[in-house]
Amino acid sequence: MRISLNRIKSIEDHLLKKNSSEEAVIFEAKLILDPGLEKDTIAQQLAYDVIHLCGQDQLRSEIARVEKTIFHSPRYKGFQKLIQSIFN
Amino acid sequence: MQTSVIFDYPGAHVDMNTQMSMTLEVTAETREELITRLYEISFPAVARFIRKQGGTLEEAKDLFQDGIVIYYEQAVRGSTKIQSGESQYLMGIVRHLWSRRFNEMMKLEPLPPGVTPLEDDRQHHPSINALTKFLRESGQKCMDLLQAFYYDKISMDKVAEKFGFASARSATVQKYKCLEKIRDNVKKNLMSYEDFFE
Repeated sequence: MRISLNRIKSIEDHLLKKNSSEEAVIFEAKLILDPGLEKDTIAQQLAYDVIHLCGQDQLRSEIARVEKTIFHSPRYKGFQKLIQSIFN
Repeated sequence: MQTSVIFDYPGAHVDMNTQMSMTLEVTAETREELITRLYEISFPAVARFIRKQGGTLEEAKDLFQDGIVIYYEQAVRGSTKIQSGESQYLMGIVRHLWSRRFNEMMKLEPLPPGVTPLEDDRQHHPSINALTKFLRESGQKCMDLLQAFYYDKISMDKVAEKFGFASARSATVQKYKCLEKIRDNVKKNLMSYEDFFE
C-alpha cells in the first residue's frame, strides 16, 4: 500500500480503537508533533460520519419503500385491515 | 461457544453466543425481506401501543421507522443483547422513543403570541446533509463500498465478492483509496469553517 494509504489506515486504527495501547501512545505523540496529522484525523472522523449518514439515508429510503408497499399493495390487505381496525 | 441460527429468509444470519448477543448480517437483497418481516410481525403490536397512548397512525409509522434504524444498526454492530424475540426488542425501542418524544413535548412551552422562534444556526452554514448529498453524487461507487463495510458491517471477504474484487486484500486497498477520496472532499468542503482547523 502506498504511504498515504498507510497513513489513512493508522488514523483508522486510532479512531476505531483497533490499535494496541502501545500503538495508541505512539499515535498520540505523532498527533502532537504533526499538525497535518491532526487535521487529517478530524477530517477522517467526519468522513466516517458522512458514510454513516449516507448508510442511514439509504436504509431509511428502503424502509419507506417497504412501508409504502405494505400499506398500499393489495398483497397486504389483511395487514392493512388489521392496522385500520386498531386506529378506528 | 458460538452457534449460528439461520433465519427463515435467505442471506440473513444471526450468531448467538451463550449471552444471547446477536450479530445480524444482511445483504442488500435480503434487507427488504427483513424490513417487510419486521412490519408484518412487529408493527401491529407497536400500533396498539401507540394507539393506547393516544398517538396516531402517522406517529406509529414514524417511530417504527426510527426503531428499525436503531435495531438494524445495533444488530449489525453485534452490540445488541436480545433476551427475548426481536419483536419485543423492537417494541422496547419504540416505547423508549415514544416516552422521549412525549417528555420533550411536555418540556416545550408555547411561545408568547407575536414572538418568532430563533432561526436554526445550521441554516447559515453548508449542512452536513448537503455535503452528504454532494459526496454521494460525486462518487456513488466508492460510497457504496464504504457503506457496505462501515455501515452494514459486511466482512471484507463478502465486500470483495459483492464488488467484484479478486481478494479481500485488493478490496481493502480500494476501501482506503475511497476513504481518502471522501476524506479529501470533506476537507475541501469544510475547510471554509474558520474555526474548524484552528
